[in-house]
Amino acid sequence: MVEVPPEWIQRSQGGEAEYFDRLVEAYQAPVYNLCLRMLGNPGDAEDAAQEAFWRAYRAIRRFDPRRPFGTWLLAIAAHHCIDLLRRRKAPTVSLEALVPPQELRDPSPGPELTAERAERERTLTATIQKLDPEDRAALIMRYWYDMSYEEMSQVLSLSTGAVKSRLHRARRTLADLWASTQPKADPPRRRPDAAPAF
Amino acid sequence: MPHLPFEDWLFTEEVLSLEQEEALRGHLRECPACRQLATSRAESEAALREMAIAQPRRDFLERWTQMRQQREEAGRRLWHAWLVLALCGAGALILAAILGLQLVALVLSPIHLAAELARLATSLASQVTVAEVLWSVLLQGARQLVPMPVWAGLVVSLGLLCALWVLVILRFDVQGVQK
Repeated sequence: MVEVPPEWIQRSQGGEAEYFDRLVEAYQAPVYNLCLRMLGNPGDAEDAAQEAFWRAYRAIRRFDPRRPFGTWLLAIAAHHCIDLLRRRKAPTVSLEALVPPQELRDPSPGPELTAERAERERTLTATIQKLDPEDRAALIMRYWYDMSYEEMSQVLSLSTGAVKSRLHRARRTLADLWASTQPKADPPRRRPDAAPAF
Repeated sequence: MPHLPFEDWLFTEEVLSLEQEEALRGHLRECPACRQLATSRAESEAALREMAIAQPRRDFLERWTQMRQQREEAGRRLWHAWLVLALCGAGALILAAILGLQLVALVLSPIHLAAELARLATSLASQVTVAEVLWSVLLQGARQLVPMPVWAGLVVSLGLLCALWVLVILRFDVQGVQK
């Protein structure tokens, strides 16, 4: 997780908006990534991330500096995404979502992904969207942010036991869905000299 | 073939005992369904760990700053609008309280109320008569003193002032709050 000087947080709490802008700059990637993995759509993710920062900006005076700022920010973003997902009547799929996320990222040259890896990422993004919002949030926090059960329970406002149970269910569902997206093994080929089947 | 508790062990993060591990290995050797599940878990987790943190668009911070400033401005306008509304409401309440107290005092003594109503009616009638007389005198005098084009100019200027007033209210108050 990103580390920022505590002074930035203190000054933001004192009402200096420029320091909160610095916090936005520092945390934009983790917050956007969480929203993208939760919502599965770059446009919605960008709007959700902006809204999460606005909510954090309004609530910064109530932030307890003894807590990790990143976890607090991700909690706001996660709850906002869960609310959005609950309000959605049906899952929406945009044209952007059909394009591999890596291709939508920074257009400057970077480490190239192989076609197979990009395809796997696209499949996984689509598969994650089928999970329950809170299970999805638990999975994302575990695998992208390496959060402990205690941190996840704080972020999701759940007990540690409930987090473990959600994570267990999310893994199980993901494995089932993953298996259904993988091509089935080819049946044994008939030898050309074999007798016809009819 | 019973899959419990092996399915649970496949998806737990708890450390299994040596006996549990051995039992799970034995079960996986015999059960193709659980073996498939174990493979799917391993593959999906490997794919999860492979995915990097996605980056937002380059203008994310710029968009944030613009949004913050716009929302702060809208908040300020809304606060001003509420302040004006609250002051108007307070004024109206004070006026209503004063009038209400007088009305209560009048209602409590019916003779006093009748006398007050009669006095009010007489006063209104006399004021209307005075206004009519003054208006006719003014009209006659003004018609002789002020030429017609000046009258027309005055009326047009008053109309324009009214229109300007309405426009200013619309521009700086109603539309400002909507933004």
